[in-house]
Amino acid sequence: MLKKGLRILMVEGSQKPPTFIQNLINGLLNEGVSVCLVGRDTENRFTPVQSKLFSRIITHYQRFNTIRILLSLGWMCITDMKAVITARKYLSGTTNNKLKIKNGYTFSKIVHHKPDIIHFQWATHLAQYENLLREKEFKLIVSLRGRHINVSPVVEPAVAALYRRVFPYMDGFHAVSQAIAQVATKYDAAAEKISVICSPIPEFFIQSFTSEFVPARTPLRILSVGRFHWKKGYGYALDAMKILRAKQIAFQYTIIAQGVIPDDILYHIHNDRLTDSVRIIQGIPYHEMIEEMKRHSVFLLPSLEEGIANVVLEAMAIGLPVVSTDCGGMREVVVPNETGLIVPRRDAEAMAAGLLSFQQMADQDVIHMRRNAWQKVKNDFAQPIQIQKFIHLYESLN
Amino acid sequence: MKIGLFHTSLPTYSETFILSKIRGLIRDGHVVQVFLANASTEATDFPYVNPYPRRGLRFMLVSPWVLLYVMFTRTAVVMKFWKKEKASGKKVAACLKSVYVNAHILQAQNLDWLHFTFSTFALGRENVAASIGAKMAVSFRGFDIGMYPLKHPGCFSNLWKVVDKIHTISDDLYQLALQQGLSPTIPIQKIRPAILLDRLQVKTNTGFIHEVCSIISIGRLEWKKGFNYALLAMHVLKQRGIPFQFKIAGAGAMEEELRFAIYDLQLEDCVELAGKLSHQDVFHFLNSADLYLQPSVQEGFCNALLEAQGTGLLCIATNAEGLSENILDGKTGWIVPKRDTIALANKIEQVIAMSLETRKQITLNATTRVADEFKIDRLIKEFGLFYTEK
Repeated sequence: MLKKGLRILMVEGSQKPPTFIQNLINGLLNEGVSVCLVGRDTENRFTPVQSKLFSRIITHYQRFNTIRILLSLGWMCITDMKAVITARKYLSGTTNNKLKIKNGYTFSKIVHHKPDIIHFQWATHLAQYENLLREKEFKLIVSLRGRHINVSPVVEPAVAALYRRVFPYMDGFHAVSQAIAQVATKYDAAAEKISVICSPIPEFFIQSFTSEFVPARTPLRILSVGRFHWKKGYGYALDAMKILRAKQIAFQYTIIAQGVIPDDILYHIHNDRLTDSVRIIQGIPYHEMIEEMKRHSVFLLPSLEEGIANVVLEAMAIGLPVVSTDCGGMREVVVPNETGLIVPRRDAEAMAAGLLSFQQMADQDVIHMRRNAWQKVKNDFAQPIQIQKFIHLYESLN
Repeated sequence: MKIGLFHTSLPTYSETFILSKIRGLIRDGHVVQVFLANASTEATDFPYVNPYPRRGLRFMLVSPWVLLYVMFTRTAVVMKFWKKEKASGKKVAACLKSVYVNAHILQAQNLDWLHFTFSTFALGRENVAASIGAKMAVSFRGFDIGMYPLKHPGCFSNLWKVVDKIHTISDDLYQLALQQGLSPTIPIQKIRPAILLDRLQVKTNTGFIHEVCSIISIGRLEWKKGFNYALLAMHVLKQRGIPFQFKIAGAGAMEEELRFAIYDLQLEDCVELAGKLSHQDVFHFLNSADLYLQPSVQEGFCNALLEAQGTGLLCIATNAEGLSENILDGKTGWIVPKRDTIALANKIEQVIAMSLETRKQITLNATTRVADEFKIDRLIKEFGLFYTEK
């Protein structure tokens, strides 16, 4: 049973974490775990389901930052001098005065909060907390997520070196997929300390599933969701659309992504005369995602690298068939012809062929695939199960 | 002829094209004035005019006097400019800003031509040339026509109405501009870029390919250059068991993506990102290689490819915009469809399999053509005609 008043400090980097971290925080709060979110202030701060057990440590204010931090630090000196003195220990080696104040403030706030466990959501953030990790005064967990493990250490040797230095100090690791857990061991993460827990998928996704339904497949309505970043592989997806166009397949491709459309995407769409069949939607609210997904025939994940893409799990949960590239941990959820289709990554021809083979699939097989996918998410990724796994991980360290 | 050239900042060493043009025109007896959008303090062998400060304390101190001065000394010009700006729908504040921003050009006297070295530089300055009584010319160079209007649809509609003559570096770019509403009646002259041949040294063993074929590319690491497609082609070659070493010289935003691709495609043993090279190193780099690759997705003309041909390298490029005029397919090198990795890999394999004589002949054709058609003197002569011809 849950120990009373487990206190988790979540180092996220911002006060507006991505949806899957929001889901995690909400789930933990509902289970009576107290959560403190550490990160810089943002425009639209995340508001948790309940505020009684929730607190924040703001590492950087949007306005009057320096003065607010200095005042706060001054107040800390009066109310909890001990925390400030402890925090000073963690500053050894910091020469930059500004950084001393910034980190001194954050560290004393952390010490003052007296968390049972510090959970770092992103591995690259460990750099800033290296001294704190070394002192080992708290139980430490780090999440091993997509790009931070698969890409950053490969392209930046300094990150690989950081991981090798700090991973041995960690008490536990949270990996989003088996594949990532495997990769992390290369950077001296002890295999026995790694727990694989996927991001929780909210129940309302799973509940909106309707069985015995086959989405219309002509014209093929293809959907991709995810920010514009090279690792999402949209260039390859557009190459695949070009191939579909050349084969005179009727299709409509929708990309839901936030932010400025990158030049290359814009250029490909115009250059290949895809303006009438490719549509870009600049982000939609999370709860509208289900309706949007239901308007499509198939979900396409063209990524080059992923931990496990949450959008794919969401698509599977509501019964939208998935065509995914073979990257990261995707194979752990997308089992070819059972729960979805897998195509090789960086291969537009294969991607187009995958989409076509889905279009030509017998209705019976589509129903079978949708049901399996839904079942898989329901059994393995539903929010309550995942939250219990997190609590179990936290408790095992205490 | 008195010619005003408008450029963003003082042309750097790498912008040989513009520097040589300026010097050549002056040598041929023209008066050249360079107007900048960003101030510089460097000493040069040609005159240039800095804009007035745009921000900070200096702006606050200087701006009222500049406006008064230009209105007082060039009343007629400013009036004309003001009317045109008002007519294009601008508010008073915007007109004032426009006068201030262009004050350094409005003061120019007796200019015959005002030439914007990139078409995008002329945006918002459409009325300057007519106000000072000069004819207006713009250059099409690649990104400005190929990419910019996609992000800003209709951005050139005002420019097309007022421009007097157009310079394009390739036919392809002109076609793109026509699609974007440029009237075919506006006079146009194609003047292809040129390179400084005396900097190049033709390599000794032209056409020769080492046992491990040494392939190179030069360019900023940006999506336009299509290096990700080149890496896929290298992956195909590696699978086919063809020994090669591929080096890319350059730096840019795409570095992370490319480094990951090299790792992901297991090309670490045969592909290297060499970083940004100095000009001296570039020539060594060219001289040491067998094959030059230009896998671009979008490209104006590409001087690096000309330099590679001039060095006597075997060159393969994609058909992105001006590149198919840069190389004569099958004569001075080879052209493959852009974004087609298999075609690129096949072409590399074919070239490696060719006889030394054939390859030698190709490099000979290329070096001769570059020396004949792409020397700086030709460019200066053509620009002289550009301004004087009716």
